[in-house]
Amino acid sequence: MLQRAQDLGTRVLQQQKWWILLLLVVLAVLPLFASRFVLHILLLFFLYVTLAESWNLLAGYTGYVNFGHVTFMGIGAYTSLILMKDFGLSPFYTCFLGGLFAAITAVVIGYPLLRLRGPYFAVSMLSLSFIFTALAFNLSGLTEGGRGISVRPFPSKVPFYYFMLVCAVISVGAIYKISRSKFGLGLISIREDEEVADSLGVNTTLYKILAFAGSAVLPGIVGGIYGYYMSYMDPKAAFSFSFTLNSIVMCMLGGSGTVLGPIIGAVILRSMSEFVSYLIPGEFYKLLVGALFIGLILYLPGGIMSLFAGKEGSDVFAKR
Amino acid sequence: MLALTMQSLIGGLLMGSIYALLAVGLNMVFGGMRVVNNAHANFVVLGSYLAYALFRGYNLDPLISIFPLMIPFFLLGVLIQRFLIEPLKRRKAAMLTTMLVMAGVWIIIETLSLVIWTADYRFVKAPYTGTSFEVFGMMISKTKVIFSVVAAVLLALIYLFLTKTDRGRAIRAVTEDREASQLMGVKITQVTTLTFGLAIALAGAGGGLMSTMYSFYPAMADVWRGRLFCIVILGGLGSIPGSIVAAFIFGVVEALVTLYASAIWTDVVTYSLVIIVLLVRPGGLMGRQTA
Repeated sequence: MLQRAQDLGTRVLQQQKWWILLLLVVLAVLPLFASRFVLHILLLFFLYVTLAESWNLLAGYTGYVNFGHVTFMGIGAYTSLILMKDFGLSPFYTCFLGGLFAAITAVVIGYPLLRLRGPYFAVSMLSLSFIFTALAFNLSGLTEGGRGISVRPFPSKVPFYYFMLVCAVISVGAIYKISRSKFGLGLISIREDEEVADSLGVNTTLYKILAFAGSAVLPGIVGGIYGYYMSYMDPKAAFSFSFTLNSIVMCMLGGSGTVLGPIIGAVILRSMSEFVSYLIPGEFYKLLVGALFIGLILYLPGGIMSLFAGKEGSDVFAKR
Repeated sequence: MLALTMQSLIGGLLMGSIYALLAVGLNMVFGGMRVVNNAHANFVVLGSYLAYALFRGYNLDPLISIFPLMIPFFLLGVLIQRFLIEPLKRRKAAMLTTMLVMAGVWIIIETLSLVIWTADYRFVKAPYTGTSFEVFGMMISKTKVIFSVVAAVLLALIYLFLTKTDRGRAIRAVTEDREASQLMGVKITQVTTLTFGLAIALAGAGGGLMSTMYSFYPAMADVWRGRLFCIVILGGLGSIPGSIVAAFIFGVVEALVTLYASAIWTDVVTYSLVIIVLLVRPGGLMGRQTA
């Protein structure tokens, strides 16, 4: 079932090549016409696509549900902003360093933590994000603690827009490539049955760590750019659980373990939350997110992609 | 220094019993139902808010109001079990799915309390707040003593219920082995509904108690979520004695770190401790080691 949903994604990407190219061209020339507000909305959308696709790499394909995905984004944001504050380096260059740090963190903690299964892994990743929040609060010589880091804002939104667009395209492209590779099949075999995969010669430890590090790179990079875009970061904003949650909801809404799922989820969730917060200002849209989340898990566990792929939803989490 | 160390040790143990009250509820739900209740901490904070509302509106001391408060919390637990958890169980969905559903409940509670009570810090100032006993030169907070006694009483009641009554034995049987107890004629749905209701009631009561000890705000739940999960995981999912032991370890470690280093380092030390314990014992201190 899931395989069919994946095939659908790859088929769309292959057959509709020209439409996709057209879409990308439109997105690329948009800053010439669009208002700052539209750019802001799209920029956040690209940010969420990147986060959701990278979460998808680990959780959707290997089945290791990461409840601390925001950690990598926070690491990236802090790396870039500290380098900007102390050395005056532009985050447009140093964000890659943030991505590197995030990936190194993922390798170091992934080696021990990826031995834990199911809720144990999820909770230990949640703890990890709390540890990093506490570190960002406490190492105030480096991070300015709870006061947060402020940097001089960049005058234009356009470079941020392009950067986020590129990151989103790369994240989708990477998932597309991976889902069609031997590596991707290895990851899926881990999700379906890790012991069997191991006994059939899949180097599960290596695969899991690679997937984990891979899922950390882009959040690290966009974290730095996002921090610069906001020109302010404090521990609560940088490691806010809502980023993790939004990534998870987007993947589940669209269908985790598929290429197109997270994009569909991001489109729906972002436009819905913008619409609802336009109708009723304040925090009300979060109620909708919560209710949607519950409804999805109860009635459409395989996400929207499963509607196209077959009769029943395929529950990616069913194995654990 | 000795007196100070003793003082913070006692403070840590008292805190431990309150942690234990909250963690046991979380773990009962896990053991009996294989539900990772992500929203447990939100029920705790909701309990604080309702105790606050009763205190402001009717001048009811949380010490009294937590007992009637347990009834709506019990019912809330029953409803969630019936309408959210049961359908998942019937589908034989994975544990993680329950974790995600409860994350939905978490967002809803947090947003509602944000809308109703705003993000301001709230606090219940009872007559005994901020006062302490002096024993052998040690200052011991009255609030902590009173509430750890209440927590201990509630824990004892739960213990008696679990060991001396048929319903309680059924809950334990289901915790140990779901299928076997089903074969022995235990009505799983009834038992799990009871378990969930009780666990949420305990969370609400614990939150009510806590309202006089800490100032709280809607996102306070994140602090409790982290601690409670860590306690339950540290002790071992499904092991209630494990949770109690881990709760005391947690309370004492926190108190000692606060004394010898600084309060800001408690989170780093305790969360790292949990990760280290998991690496040595992947199933926690007293849990089954096959996760």
